[in-house]
Amino acid sequence: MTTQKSCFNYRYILLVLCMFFILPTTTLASSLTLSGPEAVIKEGYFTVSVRANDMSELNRVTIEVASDSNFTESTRQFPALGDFKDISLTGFSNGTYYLRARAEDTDGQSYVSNTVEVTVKHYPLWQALTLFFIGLVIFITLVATLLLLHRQWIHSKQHKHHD
Amino acid sequence: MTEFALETSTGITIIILFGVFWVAFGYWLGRKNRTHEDFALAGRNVGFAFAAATAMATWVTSNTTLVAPQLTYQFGIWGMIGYSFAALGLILFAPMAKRIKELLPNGYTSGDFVRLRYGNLAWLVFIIISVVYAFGWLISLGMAGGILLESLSGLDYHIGMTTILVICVGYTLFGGMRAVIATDFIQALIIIVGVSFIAYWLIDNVGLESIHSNLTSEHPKLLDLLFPAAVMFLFNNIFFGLGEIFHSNVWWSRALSFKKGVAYKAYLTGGLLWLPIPIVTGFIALAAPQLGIFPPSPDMIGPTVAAAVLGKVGAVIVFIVIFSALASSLDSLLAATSDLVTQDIFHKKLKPKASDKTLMRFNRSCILGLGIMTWLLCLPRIATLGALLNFAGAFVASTIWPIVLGLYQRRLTGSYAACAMAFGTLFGMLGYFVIGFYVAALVSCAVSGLICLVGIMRSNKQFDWNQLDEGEQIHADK
Repeated sequence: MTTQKSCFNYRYILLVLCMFFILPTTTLASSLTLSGPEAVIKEGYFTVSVRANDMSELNRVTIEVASDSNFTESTRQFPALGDFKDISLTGFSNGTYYLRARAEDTDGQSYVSNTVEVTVKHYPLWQALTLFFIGLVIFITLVATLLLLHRQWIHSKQHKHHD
Repeated sequence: MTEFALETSTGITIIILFGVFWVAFGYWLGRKNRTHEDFALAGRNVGFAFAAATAMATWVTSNTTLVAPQLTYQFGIWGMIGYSFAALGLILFAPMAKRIKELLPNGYTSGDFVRLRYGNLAWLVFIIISVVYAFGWLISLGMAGGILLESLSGLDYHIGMTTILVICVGYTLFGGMRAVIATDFIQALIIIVGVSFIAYWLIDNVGLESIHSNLTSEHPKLLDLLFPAAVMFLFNNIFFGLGEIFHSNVWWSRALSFKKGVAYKAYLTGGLLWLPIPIVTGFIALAAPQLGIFPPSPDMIGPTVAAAVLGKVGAVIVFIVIFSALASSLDSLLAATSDLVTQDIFHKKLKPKASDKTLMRFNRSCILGLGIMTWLLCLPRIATLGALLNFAGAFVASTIWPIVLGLYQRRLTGSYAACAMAFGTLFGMLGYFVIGFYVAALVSCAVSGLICLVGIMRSNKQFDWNQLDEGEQIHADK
């Protein structure tokens, strides 16, 4: 029992040492993370953020968007602007999209982040059109009221002037 | 490292040169101010050219130069067209301005009108709405200054925001309304020439066909005329624009400062001149996907794309145009809000016998205080410009019906007007949080309108218009 426990400790220490030596070369790869909206998107636009342990090491950050989690179908790429690590994406139709970030370190080595799933489901058209027509009715009523009342005032002013 | 369109030093140099010019100009104009009426309303003697220019330039603001591209980037074609409908605010205010000038020949502010027409309760609700809106707009303008400098020159947001606030507070403090209107005139000329130049350059260099084909294949929703959120946004934006203009002292103080017979033509011309500007600034955002530009925040899209397409010279022009747009609105808002506080709270409620000199001194302190508060509130970048502005939409749209009916209709009483504004705002905020920012103003206006309708149907009182004329009450220094 005692011997077995001692062996385990040695292996554990060896593992930690290995991790320690491996760690510097994988810092960026293991820490490159992409975060996006968790709720269902109803407007077709959203913002995603790329993070890493050492942000200054990140170059050429690009977001890849695909309609399948293996990124084999209709993959599109959206480059980040300059040094910024947040990216606003827009104009998405209904559907589920898979996003991941791709970035390079200062040596030109390419890394890929985790995959984020974003669901876009626009408001039903009937709901939008209902609000549209409510707005239209209120607007027409408002303009008609304003012009009518203004005209009445002008007429009454002219009437008083003649009197 | 990021390649910004302008060197940071170039951005700072432009800001300092313009800043020194505006402040010196404000100081020079301010020497002619003898009374508080001179300072607050430019002696009530502004002619047509200056009047139309100040209406148009004040309405071209961070909304038009930064939020119109943001909303186009988010909502596509409807974002652009819907935004331009905000011109209806100026156009429909034209007849009202004529009526305001007639009803309140000695009036100073929109608050004056609400207090005299509806009484203290409605006045209180109105003042809360006005203050929330004024701060929302002031913060959005301060933030826009920081965002502009950051997107074009990489200058830290806080430094850019602080610089623009200091300049605008500076020349408004020295020159009052006279400086605001005179600088607006120059800024309007810069905006019209600059925007026409950018539109020509964009169409000539990028081309409509290539933008259209890219959007069709990569972002079809932006071209979709049945894009649900965008369809909801359309009338919301119209009501937001109407609410902003109908209630805000920025527009009332202008109507009162114009010469007799000028206000109607000035607002109509200002609105028509303003109409195409969001189309141009919004169009810039549609070119973004084709150019491979995806900003960190959607409100940065306008200047970023313009600078990318137009190069360094273009970036300088964009910078000057947007800076002029921001300054022309920021100064107007500072002046109008401080007038509101000075006249409605200090003069009418706290010191009715205040001398002319005291009022002028208090007005200047208000401008400075507002500048400092805006700076403090701009420090944390709390939301995107579009979201921040549209939150205010829930507040201002509730004032549309009480203002229109209050100006022309005798039967609406103060208690119903107060309820309409309070409940309109509450329901608008509910819409903002439950559905989204693109319905806040629509819901607010609808609820407020219904309450006003009930108020008119149930009331049998007739308001006496003569109660609106308080006469001149300021006591000149001996």
